[in-house]
Amino acid sequence: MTDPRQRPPALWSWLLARVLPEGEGPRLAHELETLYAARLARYGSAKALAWYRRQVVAFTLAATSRSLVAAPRQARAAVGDLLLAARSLSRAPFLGVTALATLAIGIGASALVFSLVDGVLLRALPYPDADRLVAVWDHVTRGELGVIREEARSLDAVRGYLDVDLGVNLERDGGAQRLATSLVEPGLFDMLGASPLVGRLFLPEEAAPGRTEVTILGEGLWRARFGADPEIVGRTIVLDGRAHEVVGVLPVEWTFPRPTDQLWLPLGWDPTQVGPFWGAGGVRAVARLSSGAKPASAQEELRALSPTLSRRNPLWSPSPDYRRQAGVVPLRDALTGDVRGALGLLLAAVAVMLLAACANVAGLLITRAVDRQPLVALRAALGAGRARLARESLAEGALLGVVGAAGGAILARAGLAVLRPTLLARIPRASEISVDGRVLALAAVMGVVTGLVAAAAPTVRGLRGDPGSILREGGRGAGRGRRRAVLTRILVTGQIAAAVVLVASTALLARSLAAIGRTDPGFSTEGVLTAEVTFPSTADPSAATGTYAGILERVGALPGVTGAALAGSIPFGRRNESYATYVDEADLDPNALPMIDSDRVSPAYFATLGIPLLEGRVFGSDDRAGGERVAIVDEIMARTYWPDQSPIGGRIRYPWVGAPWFQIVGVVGSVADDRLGEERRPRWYVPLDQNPAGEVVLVVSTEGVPTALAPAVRAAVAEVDPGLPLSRVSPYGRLIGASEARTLLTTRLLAGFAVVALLLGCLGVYGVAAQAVRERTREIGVRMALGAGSNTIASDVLIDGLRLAVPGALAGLAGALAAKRVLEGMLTGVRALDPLVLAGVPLLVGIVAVAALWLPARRAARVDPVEVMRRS
Amino acid sequence: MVTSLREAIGMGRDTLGELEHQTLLAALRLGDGAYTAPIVTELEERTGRAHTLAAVYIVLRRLEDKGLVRSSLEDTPGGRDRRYFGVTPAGLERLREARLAYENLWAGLDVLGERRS
Repeated sequence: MTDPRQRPPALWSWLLARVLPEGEGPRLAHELETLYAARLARYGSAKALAWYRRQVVAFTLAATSRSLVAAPRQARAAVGDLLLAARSLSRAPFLGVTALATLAIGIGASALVFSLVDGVLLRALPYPDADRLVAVWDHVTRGELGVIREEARSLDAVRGYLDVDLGVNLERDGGAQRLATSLVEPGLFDMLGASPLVGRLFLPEEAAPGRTEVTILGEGLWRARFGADPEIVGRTIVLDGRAHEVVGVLPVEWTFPRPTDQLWLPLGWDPTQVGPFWGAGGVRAVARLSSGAKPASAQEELRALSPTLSRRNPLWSPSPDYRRQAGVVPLRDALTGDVRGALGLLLAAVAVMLLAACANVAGLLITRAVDRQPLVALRAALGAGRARLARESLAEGALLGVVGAAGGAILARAGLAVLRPTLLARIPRASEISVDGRVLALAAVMGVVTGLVAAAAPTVRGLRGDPGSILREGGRGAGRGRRRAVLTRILVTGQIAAAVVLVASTALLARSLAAIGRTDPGFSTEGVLTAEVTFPSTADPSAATGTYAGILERVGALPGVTGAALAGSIPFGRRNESYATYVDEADLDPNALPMIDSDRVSPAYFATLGIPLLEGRVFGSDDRAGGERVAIVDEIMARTYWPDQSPIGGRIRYPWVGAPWFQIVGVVGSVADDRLGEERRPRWYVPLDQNPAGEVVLVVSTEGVPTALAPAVRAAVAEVDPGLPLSRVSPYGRLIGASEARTLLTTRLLAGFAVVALLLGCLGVYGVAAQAVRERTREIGVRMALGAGSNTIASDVLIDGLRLAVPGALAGLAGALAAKRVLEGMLTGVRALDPLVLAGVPLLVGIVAVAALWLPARRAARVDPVEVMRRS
Repeated sequence: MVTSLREAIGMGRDTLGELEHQTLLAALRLGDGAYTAPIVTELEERTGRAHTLAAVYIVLRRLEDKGLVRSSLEDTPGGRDRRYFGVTPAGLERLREARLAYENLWAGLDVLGERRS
């Protein structure tokens, strides 16, 4: 056999094998390969490939004509109808191209959104027994998870993981690289059916304290840092200064718990560490339902377990209310829950848009059917069967639909390619989205159905007319125009309504985004740069405080820097710390401790972010390890737990046994967290120096552009300790922007659909008016000859057009009101019945409609009565 | 009933088409080595026109139906078989007629500026 490199491409060869004449296939294929190899040697691969493709196309055409000759009469007739339709459409290129473009855009957008819905919501998760996998609560403690595992009968496997990026430092020559890391309990990946490229998954005993430390690498890291070394298993790498044995490599497609993970460590359980074991939440769990169990029954069982959990937990006992907030939900819903609303909205939007596109094409076909009515009538008079005429007319619709669907599929693919990078960061399961067979099949069905529906109206109309009267009218009759007008007018009104619905929804979302953008987060982000600094987890906390001071001193001395501070977590950052908290002065049920957010911050934190001090003092340099333990609460916490009195002097502490009390020394302003639009929660602060954190965020305020400062900050941190990597260096504004990124993306997509719908409505209005002017040229001429001014004529055209636009806008408003229920969940700071939107959008659509009417109106005004009279 | 345009306007159904004519000649030139691929190459090299294998193959089968070529399957040293085409006496006769017809038509013409007898 020939060298494989000299063989033609497999796809084309595969196609060729389908179309070669029976019995001669292998022989001819071999001859083509020989010729291909000769061409390759002589003319190079581009020309040889082009030649080979031409050969395949020629055999395909030959096979098609062969099978047509052999096909049953009906099939031949159908192909004949399609060819006829193609020819007749090619004689009306403007109509053909407009209709195809309209359908392609409508179908393309629908297919694109459907591919998102399919990939994210409909398709089963790519895990074995995916329909039995459930997410158990949100953020249980490690100890509680152990109890659930022991007691719950309806769950036959419960495995936990930490849904925070742990971030470990991988040592490399002269520096350290920060790696996105998740902690997962052994058995979790087995339950989800992970299959490592090399090596194995974690073993149960590997999570026990004191064992050899092990890690699993992601394929990306393995390739980038270890040259895809197949012998990696068993090798030792240094993470956070400690040796870890590599036990396996997971393929790049593995995206659990988070798509960004580069490395996984086993999640250990150390019951002797009572504080973290029972006190720190944040553990999430995946479980498999035992056979016969349903999520609801499992939830019942877990609720019944609640008293046991409270009894077993030595630290705190949440109230039954707290337990009732969470439950057992199918894993798919847990992973994708919060995008449902947005995807549903987009799906509804494209459906509306597709309807508008369908109406547009129907309008075009009706116009054309009317123009051709004399011809059709003539053929009917000559004896052409009605079935035959109807078939031809429907064939046009089907052909437009099929070709439009093909165009739509190409558009959807291109659109997805453009969107994919954005989607990956914004929505769960984005890597599973593709324009695949299901989506293409749906596009094809949508195309044919849309085409047939669009062609149905003109077909029915074409069959109804009486050939004799049509021929007598001689193609000039006013009656025809009027009859046609009723139907097209309804369609155009519908298009306007669709445009109003979409534009109004977009406007509401945009206003909501703007309102969110105006919301004061409670601190200043202007000119503030943030960066994460990760200390090796082995580092001595008391040594860390020295490093903190070094970093703050060096960064603070950089030119242009007006303030520098460190914090264990910041609002809109990746992590937040939240603990069940004892608040002594407040009358709290010891069994219902509140979970309260808390941040560890350096003294300059409040000044750097411009958080106002309302009472007492901020932290000072004396609030260091060994000093009196102090805390600051924000105004919401003060109001909630010390109503009508000052919290200064009050006490507060973490839940674990032996945790010290903190003395409240100050009250500061409240800040937003996570989402700008959400209600602010209570929050308290402790000095970072008294509570060192392994991962800190550096916030630096500057008079200039924050990003310009990044290299200098990096250098300053490296001066303090070259082994400390700086990651996620970003202006603070961008962190906040990212929290609204998904709404922004939804709004942009919706805006695109709205613009298309508006254009379609515009085209529709224009089409109707232009057609009316063309048909009534004679009438207009007569009126002008009788003394009507051109302004009167033009305004008649305008008013006639607005008779379409106004009812359409009203219907659209009704539709927008109906859509408000879908939208409400996504709106912040704007009512779904926003008066500005309700008034503004119809006005905008009206203006657009007038713009669309301008050309026909001008044409009507320029009719020359003399010319008209001479012609008739 | 008239079944084709060619018949309707009185072209005998056994007139040689141009590609049929050229394919027969190419097969003749190749002699024993005439199977589809070399015929395509021969046509391309001699006439400068690249026909697709599909076109030439269809022409060969049509010529076979008309009895102007005959084909046979033969094993090659490589172990796979090939369909070789040979021009039949009827095919040779048809080529001769065609050549004679062309020569008669060309006789005495010098429109192309070259001497022909």
